Amino acid sequence: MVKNIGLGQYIPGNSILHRLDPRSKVIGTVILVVGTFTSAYPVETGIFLGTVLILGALSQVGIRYYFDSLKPLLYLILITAFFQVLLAEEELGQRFDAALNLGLRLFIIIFSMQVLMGTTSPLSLTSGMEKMLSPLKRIKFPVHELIMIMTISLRFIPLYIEDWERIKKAQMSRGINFEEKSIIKRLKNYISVLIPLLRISFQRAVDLATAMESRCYQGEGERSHLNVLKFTPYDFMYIGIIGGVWLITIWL
Amino acid sequence: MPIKIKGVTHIYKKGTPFEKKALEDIFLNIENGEILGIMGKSGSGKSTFLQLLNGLLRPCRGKIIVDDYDITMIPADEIAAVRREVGLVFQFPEEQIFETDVYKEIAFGPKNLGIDEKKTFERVKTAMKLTGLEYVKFKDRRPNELSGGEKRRVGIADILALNPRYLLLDEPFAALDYEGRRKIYQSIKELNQTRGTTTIIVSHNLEYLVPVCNRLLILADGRVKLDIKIDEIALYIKEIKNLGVSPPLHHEVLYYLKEKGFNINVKVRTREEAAREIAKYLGTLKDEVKSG
Repeated sequence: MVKNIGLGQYIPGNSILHRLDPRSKVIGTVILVVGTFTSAYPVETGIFLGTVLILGALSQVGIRYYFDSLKPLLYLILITAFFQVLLAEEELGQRFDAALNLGLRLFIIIFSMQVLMGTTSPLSLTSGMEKMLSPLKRIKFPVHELIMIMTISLRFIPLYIEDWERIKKAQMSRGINFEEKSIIKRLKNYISVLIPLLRISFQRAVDLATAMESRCYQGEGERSHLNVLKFTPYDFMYIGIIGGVWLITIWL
Repeated sequence: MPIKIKGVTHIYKKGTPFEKKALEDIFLNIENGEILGIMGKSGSGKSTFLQLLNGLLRPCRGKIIVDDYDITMIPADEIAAVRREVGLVFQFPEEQIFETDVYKEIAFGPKNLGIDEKKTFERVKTAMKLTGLEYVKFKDRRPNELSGGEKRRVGIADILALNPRYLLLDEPFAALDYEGRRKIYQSIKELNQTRGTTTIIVSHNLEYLVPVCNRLLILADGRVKLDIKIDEIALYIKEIKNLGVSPPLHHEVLYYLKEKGFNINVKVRTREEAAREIAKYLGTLKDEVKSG
């Protein structure tokens, strides 16, 4: 099994953020991302940092989650900051300042995404997206199909991880050593996992298509939902607060 | 040399909230040349057991002694040697096929071990013969042109080409028809007779194990609940049923006949043998009627 928690994995729970409508969470995140990018350093960025940290605490998914899933992205932030220091054309002190500025913004953006993904199940996220994009249907944009593709791919990720582990074990029992010291040899050995994995995924796609067709699935047309999304006063409050923070930073 | 398992316990994801006990306190001796069938419902620890034997998993507690070596003590970078000796054929081995033709596919294992071309050729040929794949006919075929049963046998040949001294098969009969199963029985038997390969077969269907095994183990809740010779099944019908396993029909018939007071030999393995015993009994009955 893959050991640490995956990036952007949903953690079931019952916090205020969990109970919000996915649409308001998406809108909130978009405001945070846009706001962070356009904010002036350092005061306004600091306000956004405070906001996402509060949201992180409200989400009740635990510090471990954020720490584990941010770890790989930390490298991205560090590398970006590093090049900022190395290549920018200002004085050294300013360069450090600029690097910190950029790194902080990246951190806030990634963190706000984490809050969204951690508190919203993929299913409700995609159904929220579908609702939000539904105006595009008027101009014949295939919203439902697009969302279906997204849902399916999200659903299949854990299956692929399982397949990956299983095939790897099967190849290990054929004497293939994945701990090989030479990197080229190790990569070559991974081909023996990738090819079967690819074949299985194609097979699975074909099977799924057949199964959907045999159940008369049709993308277009009105489809009803089991859980109908509904805005509550909390949702308006949430958007209101985040929008308010944004307005304050603009006013500042 | 036999396999000795001493007090093996395995727990998945130990120390996390997802902790799950797969095997608990297993003590077992597997003699050389034995064909051992392991039965159990899903989640009873069958597959875990096989993976422990070939070093893919390491037990949380206990010793596994193969050829006088405790494989739980072998360091990770030398465990590959154990996997060569103890060949494990995974469930649906056809999924792991990745070369472009059958020869290359089966040759991959030996080549990867650094065995030279000529010896590899010999090994592939024997492995194909053992699995009932005619060399000339199949060597250049593309794996995806083969039938399900043929692919399965290529998957098994992949492991046989490593010349393992112990062969572990995880659900080798799953989703195969009678013909496909029969071919695999033949391979297992031939391997056992010609090379004396000790074989362990895991299945959730007792009927599939009866024609080829000579010892039966039933696992439940991570423990060995029953350990009998295969021709003793009819004596243990009650116990087997209590473990949630459905026994082969012919054994059940013999059991009930015996219980009704018929003096019949119930120590049989296959359906044919059972039929013969019943016929024999009916014959003696006839004689009694005639003489009486």
